[in-house]
Amino acid sequence: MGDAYVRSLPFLLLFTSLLAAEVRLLRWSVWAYGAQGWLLALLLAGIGWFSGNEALYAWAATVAASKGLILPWLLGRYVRGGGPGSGFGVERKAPPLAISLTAAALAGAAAFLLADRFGGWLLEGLSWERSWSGVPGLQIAAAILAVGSWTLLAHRDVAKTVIGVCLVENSVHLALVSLAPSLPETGEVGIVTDVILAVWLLLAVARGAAEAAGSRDTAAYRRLAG
Amino acid sequence: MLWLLILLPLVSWLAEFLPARGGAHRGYAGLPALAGCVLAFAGAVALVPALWRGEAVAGATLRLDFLGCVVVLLASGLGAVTIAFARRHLATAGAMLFGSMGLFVSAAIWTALTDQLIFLFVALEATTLTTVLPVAFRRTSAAWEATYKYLLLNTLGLSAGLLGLVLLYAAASPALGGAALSISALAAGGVQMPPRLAAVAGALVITGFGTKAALVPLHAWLPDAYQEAPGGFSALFAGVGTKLALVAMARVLPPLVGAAPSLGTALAVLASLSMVVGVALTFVQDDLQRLLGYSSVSQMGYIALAVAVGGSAGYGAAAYHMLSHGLLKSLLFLCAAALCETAGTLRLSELRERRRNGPVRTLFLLAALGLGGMPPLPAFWSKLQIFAAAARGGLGWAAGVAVFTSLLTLVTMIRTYNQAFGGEGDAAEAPTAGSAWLLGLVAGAAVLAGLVPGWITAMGG
Repeated sequence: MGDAYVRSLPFLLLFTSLLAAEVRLLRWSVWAYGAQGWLLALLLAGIGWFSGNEALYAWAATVAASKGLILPWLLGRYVRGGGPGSGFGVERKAPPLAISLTAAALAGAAAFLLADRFGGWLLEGLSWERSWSGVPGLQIAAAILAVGSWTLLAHRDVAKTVIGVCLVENSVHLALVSLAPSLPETGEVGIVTDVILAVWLLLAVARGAAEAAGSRDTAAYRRLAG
Repeated sequence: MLWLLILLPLVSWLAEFLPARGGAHRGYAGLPALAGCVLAFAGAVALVPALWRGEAVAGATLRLDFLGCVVVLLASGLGAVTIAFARRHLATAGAMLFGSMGLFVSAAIWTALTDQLIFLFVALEATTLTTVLPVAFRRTSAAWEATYKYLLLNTLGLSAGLLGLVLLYAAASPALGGAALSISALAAGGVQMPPRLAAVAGALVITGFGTKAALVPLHAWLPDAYQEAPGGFSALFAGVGTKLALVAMARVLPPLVGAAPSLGTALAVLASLSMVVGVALTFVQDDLQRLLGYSSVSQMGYIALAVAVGGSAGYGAAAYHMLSHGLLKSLLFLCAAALCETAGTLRLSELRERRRNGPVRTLFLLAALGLGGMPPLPAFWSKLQIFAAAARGGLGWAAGVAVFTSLLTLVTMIRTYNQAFGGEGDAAEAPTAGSAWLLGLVAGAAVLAGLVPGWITAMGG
C-alpha cells in the first residue's frame, strides 16, 4: 500500500504542473506550484523510506524548504503586489484555456513517453532505474520540463514565465535526485540556494521591467524578441 | 591561500555597506571593492612563481592551474581597474554597483579555482546572479528587458549544464566513489563512460555553458546586456564574464570527449558559427557597445575552438586568448565609456560627424588593431596558437574559418575606429583623459602580454 502511495505521487506532480501552468488566476497558479514542492518532498521522503536510502531525506528537506515554502512565498508576494498590467488582462492574451491545457498535457505526455522509450537507451550504463524502486522519476522530470517549457513559450504574463522557470527547475531537481541521489548535501544546498536567488532576482527584474514598460505582457518587451 | 583570493573581494562586498547607517561618504563607495580586488590580484601574482616551477597549488576543493591563474589575474586586475574607472566616471554608482562588482570578481575567481563539479555550477551561476544589478543599473525599460533576458536565458542554460555535470558524476561515481566530484580526479582518467551517455552529458554541458559563453545560436542575451550595462562594468563583464563558461567547459569536457569524440567536432562547429556570425553582425551595428558585444561573440568562438581541440596546445591557446581578448576588449569598452562621457552618445552614425583626438583615440586604435590580430599585440600570438592547434588537431577547416574571421575582425575594427574617432567634420572635444592612466595600465598589460608570448606559452605547457 505504501508503495502504491509513492507510485501515485509522480502523477500528482504532473497534475500540479498543469495546474501551475494553465490556471489563469495567478494566485492559484502559485498555490499549485507550492503544492508541487510538497509533493516532490513527500515523494523523495517516501522513496527514501521504502528503499532505505537515507540520503533522500536531506533532499526532501531542502525541497520542502525551498520549493514548498520559500519560492511559493516569493511568487505569492509578487503576485499579491499587483503592479502595472496585472490581473487577468495579460493572461487573456495567452492561447485559450482548452487549447493551451491540451497542448501542455500533450507535450507532457509526449515527453514522458519519449523519456520512457529512450531514457534507458541514452543513459545506458547508469544505475538510475534501480535506485528509484520502480518510480518513473526521469520520465516525470521530462514531462514537467515539457510543461514548464510550454509555459515559457505560450504565456505572456511575466509572472507566468517565472512560474515556467520554476517548473523547469523542479524538473531538473527531480532529474538530479533520480540520477545522483547520493550527491553531498553541500552540493544540494548550493544548488537550491542558487535557484532561490535566481528566482528572487528574476521577480525583482520582472517587476522593474513591468513598471518601466507599463505592462506585464512579455510581448511588449522589445528586446525579448531578438 | 586560495580561499583568501575568493574571500577578499567577497568581504569587500560587505564592507561596501558598512557606513550606510551613518551616511556614507561619497569617496568611500567603491574603495573596499577596489582594495579587495587589488589584494586578490597581489595574492595571485604571489602564486605565479610556484605555478612556474610546476608545483601543485591546491587547497580544499580548490586548485590553481595555468588557465585558472590567467582568469584570476584577469578578474582581479580588471576588477580593480574598472572599479577605479567607475568611481571616477559613474556619478550615480554606489555601494550596490561596487558591491556587485566585488561579488562578481569573487565568484569569477571561485569558478576559476574550484575543483568540485557542483561548486563549478554554483560559482558559475553566482557570476550570473552578481551581474544582474549592474546590467539593470540604468533602470530604463531597455535595461530591465535586457536584464530579464540575460537572467532568464542564463538560468535555463546553466540548468542544462548542471544536468550534464550530474550525469558525469553519476557515471563516474561507481568507479571513483566520493572522488567523482573532483574535477582533477575525473580529468586524470579512469572513468570509462559509455559513448552515448558521454554524448548526452557533453551535449548538455555544451548547450548549458555555451549559453553562458554566448556561442551562436545561444548568444541572444549578450549584445543587449553589453549595450545596457554601464561602460565601466561592461569592460569587466566583457573581459571576464563569458570566458568563465569556457573555463568550465575546459574543465569537464576532457573525460566526455574521450568517450565521445564527436563532441569536439560539435563544439568546433558552434565555435566556427560564433566566429563568423558574430563578426558579420558587427558590420550592421550602430551602437558601439552593442558592436563590441557582437565582436565578443565572435572572439568567444576562438576560445571555444581551442577548447574543442583540447590537450595542452588547445588549453594553452585558450588561456592565452582569454588573456589577450580580456585585456583588449576591456580597453575598448573603457575607451567607449570615456567617449560616451564627452560625446553623449555611442551611436556611430552620430559619432562619425566629428573628428576626435586625444589619448583615448590612440588607445582605442591600439586595442582595435590588437583585436584584429596585428603583431606584436597578444591577440596575434594567441590566434596564431589557436590556428596551429586546430590545424594539428585535425580541425583544419575550423582553422580556415578562424583565419578568415581574423581578417574580417581587422576590417571591422578599423572601420569602427574610423567611425568613432575619425569623422570628417571639425574636431570635437577630446574624450576625457581624466582616467587615461587607468586605460594606459590596461594597454600596458596588453602590450606586455604580446611581447612575452614565449613566457606565457611555456607556463601554459
